[in-house]
Amino acid sequence: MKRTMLVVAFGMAMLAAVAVSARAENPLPGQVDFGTFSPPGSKGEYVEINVPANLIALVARFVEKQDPEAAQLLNRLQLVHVSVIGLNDENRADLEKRAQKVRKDLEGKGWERIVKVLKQEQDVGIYLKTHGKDTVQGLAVVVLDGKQQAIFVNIVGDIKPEQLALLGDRLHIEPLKKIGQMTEKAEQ
Amino acid sequence: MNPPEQSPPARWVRAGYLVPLGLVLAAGYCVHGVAGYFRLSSETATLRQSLMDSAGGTWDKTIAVNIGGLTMGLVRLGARLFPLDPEPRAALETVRGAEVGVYKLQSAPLCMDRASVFATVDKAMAGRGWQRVVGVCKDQELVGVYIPRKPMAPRRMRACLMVWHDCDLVVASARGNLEPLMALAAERLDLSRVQRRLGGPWSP
Repeated sequence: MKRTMLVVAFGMAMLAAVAVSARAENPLPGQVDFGTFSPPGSKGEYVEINVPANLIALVARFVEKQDPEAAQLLNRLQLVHVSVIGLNDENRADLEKRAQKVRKDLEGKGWERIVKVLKQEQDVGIYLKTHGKDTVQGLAVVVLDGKQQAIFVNIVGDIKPEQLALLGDRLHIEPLKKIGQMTEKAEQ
Repeated sequence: MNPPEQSPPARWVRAGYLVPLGLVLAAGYCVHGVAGYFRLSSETATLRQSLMDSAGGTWDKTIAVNIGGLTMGLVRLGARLFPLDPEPRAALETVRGAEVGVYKLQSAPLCMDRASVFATVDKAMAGRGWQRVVGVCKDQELVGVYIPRKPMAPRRMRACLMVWHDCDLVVASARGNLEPLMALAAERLDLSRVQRRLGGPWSP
């Protein structure tokens, strides 16, 4: 009896471990895998920010009283991922190619391009993933900012493009604020 | 003829063994505790070592200090005996432990690839259940911030940080309870809202 209980307990523990690891490996709906980026060598900028749900929830609690609208937005998000890579002669062609591939992949997977801006060497594409008519599952942004940097953003959760600047401001993510401002100018 | 019975050892003889043993154990514990002040925790040590292994070269330790929960508890207890402003009091109530290590690169390898550092450190920290939330690399500076992958309650926040600038490396970590800070922030926000409504600075 004792041995049977031990075997059952061990089996349940293994099943739980498999379930957890399966959950960890399956991406969230609205999540985009841009791949791995490397810093561009000795000169050049590289910034990668990956804010998981528990940190977002913490920030939401901090700003709840001061800014309920921002807190409400933050509570609807599960992940914020921003990658900014400085462009140089070594990586420019590769990153431009990757940006094009990401855009093609997004469109192929049912992401809808809602904003496209080609202005003053800025190439901005904003994509939205929806489920049904009303549910937004994620937002993806691919930006080639002149010859200076490439920016890849993925936000999992319910967010509108016009809220990017607010989100960037509350999470103190400067590239996100910049993209939000670019989007607002493009829409005006 | 029966052998003479051996009498059981007297109590004072047993105490004679126990007391020195207890003293040795206490001394060992004190040495271990004091040594702990200069030894980084396993996560911070992993962060440091994986970066050094990836970067190569020879590193010298400048200082490594670890202030754990017991010491911080004593500091908080002592602080309650003195009048303190709300902000420093909230800060003391928040920090439950902190450690920092500072190292200097003495001899750099011929070819140093900062780009590969993140990949190596990320892998090592992922093995310990940590994920990178911030990574910055610019010119001669590299910064990384890591938090545990599993969800954290505000009462049990932890984070590790590495900053590599030129030949200097700093690794640090902290754990704390953010509730006192959040309560203070909420209180301040309510107070400022009341001040705005009254149209002037608050004077008690």
